[in-house]
Amino acid sequence: MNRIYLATRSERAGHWINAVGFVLLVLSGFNIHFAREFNVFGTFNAAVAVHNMVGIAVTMNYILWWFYSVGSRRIRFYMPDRDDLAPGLIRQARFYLLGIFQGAAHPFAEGEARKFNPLQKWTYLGVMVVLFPIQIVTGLWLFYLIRGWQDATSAQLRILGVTHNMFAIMLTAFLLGHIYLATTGETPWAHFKMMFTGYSHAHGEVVPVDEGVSDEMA
Amino acid sequence: MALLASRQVKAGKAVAALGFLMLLGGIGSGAVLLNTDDVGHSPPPEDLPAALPESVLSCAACHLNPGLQPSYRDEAGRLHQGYIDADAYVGSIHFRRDMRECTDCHDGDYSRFPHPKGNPEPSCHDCHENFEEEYSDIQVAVAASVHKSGGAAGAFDCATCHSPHTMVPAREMTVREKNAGCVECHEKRYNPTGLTLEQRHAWHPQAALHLERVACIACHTQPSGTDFSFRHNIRPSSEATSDCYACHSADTKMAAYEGSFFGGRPQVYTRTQLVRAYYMSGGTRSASMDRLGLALLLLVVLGTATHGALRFVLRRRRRA
Ligand code: HEC
Ligand code: HEC
Ligand code: HEC
Ligand code: HEC
Ligand code: HEC
Ligand code: HEC
Ligand code: HEC
Repeated sequence: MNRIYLATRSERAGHWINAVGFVLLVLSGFNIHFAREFNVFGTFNAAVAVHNMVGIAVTMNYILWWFYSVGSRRIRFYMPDRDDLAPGLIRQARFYLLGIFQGAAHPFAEGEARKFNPLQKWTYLGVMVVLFPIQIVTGLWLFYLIRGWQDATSAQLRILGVTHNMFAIMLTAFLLGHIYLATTGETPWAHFKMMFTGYSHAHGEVVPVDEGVSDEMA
Repeated sequence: MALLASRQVKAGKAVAALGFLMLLGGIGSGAVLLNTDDVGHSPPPEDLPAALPESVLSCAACHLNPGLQPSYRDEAGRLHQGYIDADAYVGSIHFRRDMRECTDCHDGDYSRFPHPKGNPEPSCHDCHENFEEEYSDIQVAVAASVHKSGGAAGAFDCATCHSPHTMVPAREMTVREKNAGCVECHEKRYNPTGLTLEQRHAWHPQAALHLERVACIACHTQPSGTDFSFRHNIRPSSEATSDCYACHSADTKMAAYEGSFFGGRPQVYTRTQLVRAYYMSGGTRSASMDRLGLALLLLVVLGTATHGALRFVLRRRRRA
């Protein structure tokens, strides 16, 4: 079994800061939105305070992530190649829908050149490049308006608020899916361990990218 | 009547204080204070608004004097507040519409004290019923309200909530002013449970905020019809709004409180307030979107749970 160093120390630190922040934002966000039904922080104002502070912390963490990923060129792991779009995605999806139940090997083994499977690449890219920025911009903008630093109409607030809500739901859906899929490693805990130690125990033997296992099943 | 009982003490105190003042005045300055029948000699309080007409000053020593709040109760149990806040009087719609002198509304003999019995008692309807139909609509709404259907009915009329001396159109009232009458009576004068309003609204996670910044009538009346008189039809508390979505949603109930009999917008809820002073999450909340979003999340949870269960079951079977 070969150990691969997949996640650097900075990546792991960033990941867990983000993870804790993310969960707090979801909880406090729901508290603000469903003030009566979901009052987990006790008071509305407490939820708002947590949401504002954590929101800003997560924003800074996000900016650091860009500096680090681009600076270290590890952003390349997120870049899809030509195989990743339709064929790779289909193979990975088929694995989750069928192969995983039959004990098939993961179609995309981790290695020096590959950290993520195609599904991961696309969702992480979507989250980091589309969802997060929209959420951060609408969140900061709302903060700005509500503080009364700028005049605004309720129509503006509504558009911002609804957008912020919509993307919050998508991000929450991502979070749930992400946590679940993290249990689909070699053992249910394998991926979680990797995110703490940085090392992955590669699945079985390394399978060349261009002839995935799942093709045999087709 | 028990309802307004605590104030009777006040009326007594006022008369006692009055007597004491007269005594002091008589001994101290030698000038005769109210010792004669002519009330015109009593000195008015200082710092009265300059806009007050001459004739009012003769009544000011007693009726515009915050230290002396003559009040009394009539046979029906209604409390009559004899104190008039001078600034509110000058700011009132009647003063601004040129009804400045007390005698514009009170004809009768008030030049002496104690005032002679039998002066006619004016009411809003003396003047208003004849010239605007809105007032009779309001009267119908008040008559249908919870205040007129219970045992306290006799104690209620327009002046219980509105003083003609300080009345302004709704668009000029602050939320606090609109609520002041309700709060004063329900916390102190008529409070059979002894609980504060905040305690009685404890079901609301933001009770204090809403009691302070939302008009009571926004929950305690229900919009209906095309005129604005429904705002006077206070419903029994079983019909009060407790659904957050009624206000915190795109088609907010609050919109029904924006218009006014007299044009303009009363201050229950204005755009500037919405943005400047408060952010009503409601403006940004849509019930259908919430349902859609929650359905999506539920789907994800169910989907992953099924997937996980399948994995678990099939893995065991494979091993076996
Ligand atoms: C010496 C103090 C005093 C002065 C001055 C005074 N009042 Fe009064 N007034 C009272 C008191 C006390 C009452 C409470 C009811 C009572 O005892 O008659 C009252 C009651 C009233 C009432 C309601 C009862 C009723 O009889 O209708 C009116 C109206 C009124 N005053 C008008 C006036 C006007 C107008 C003036 C000025 C021309 C004036 N008062 C001057 C002390 C005064
Ligand atoms: C716009 C008309 C108007 C003017 C001006 C006016 N009043 Fe009145 N006043 C009323 C009406 C109507 C009532 C009866 C309220 C009620 O039914 O309780 C009243 C009642 C009173 C009462 C009895 C308290 C009560 O609540 O019934 C006093 C005292 C009084 N007025 C004094 C004055 C004095 C003093 C002035 C001048 C500074 C004055 N009023 C000017 C309309 C007026
Ligand atoms: C002595 C007659 C009189 C009495 C009593 C009186 N009003 Fe008026 N009120 C008027 C007049 C006159 C106007 C001015 C109407 C206009 O300009 O169209 C007015 C105006 C108003 C307005 C403003 C309407 C607008 O067009 O903006 C309100 C509100 C009002 N009164 C409420 C009351 C209430 C409530 C009472 C009883 C507590 C009352 N009034 C008692 C004569 C009276
Ligand atoms: C002068 C005192 C007084 C004022 C002012 C007053 N109320 Fe009341 N209220 C009462 C009394 C007395 C009752 C009980 C009625 C009855 O059953 O006889 C009552 C009943 C009610 C009820 C029904 C409670 C139940 O158990 O169903 C509501 C709701 C209410 N008031 C709201 C208001 C609001 C809102 C305002 C202000 C716009 C207001 N009240 C102003 C005295 C007052
Ligand atoms: C239980 C308390 C209460 C009683 C009793 C009451 N009102 Fe009102 N009234 C209010 C409140 C609260 C408002 C503010 C309404 C709003 O925000 O639209 C108001 C507003 C008004 C307005 C201004 C409306 C506008 O759109 O500017 C008038 C006029 C009025 N009342 C007349 C009356 C008359 C006439 C009576 C007697 C038949 C009466 N009220 C009885 C509480 C009361
Ligand atoms: C957010 C909506 C809302 C607002 C704002 C609101 N109420 Fe209520 N109120 C309710 C509801 C709902 C109930 C019924 C509670 C119950 O049945 O337990 C109620 C009950 C009451 C009762 C009856 C309490 C009892 O013990 O039966 C009174 C009196 C009352 N409210 C007065 C007021 C007054 C005065 C104000 C303004 C200061 C006000 N409310 C503001 C929704 C509201
Ligand atoms: C009668 C309409 C009405 C009802 C019903 C109502 N609210 Fe509100 N709410 C308001 C208004 C208006 C404000 C803004 C008050 C302010 O800040 O001046 C507000 C403010 C709030 C705030 C503060 C944050 C914000 O969005 O401004 C919270 C939290 C809140 N409401 C929660 C609730 C909950 C939970 C319920 C149901 C139990 C509820 N409200 C029912 C009208 C209402």
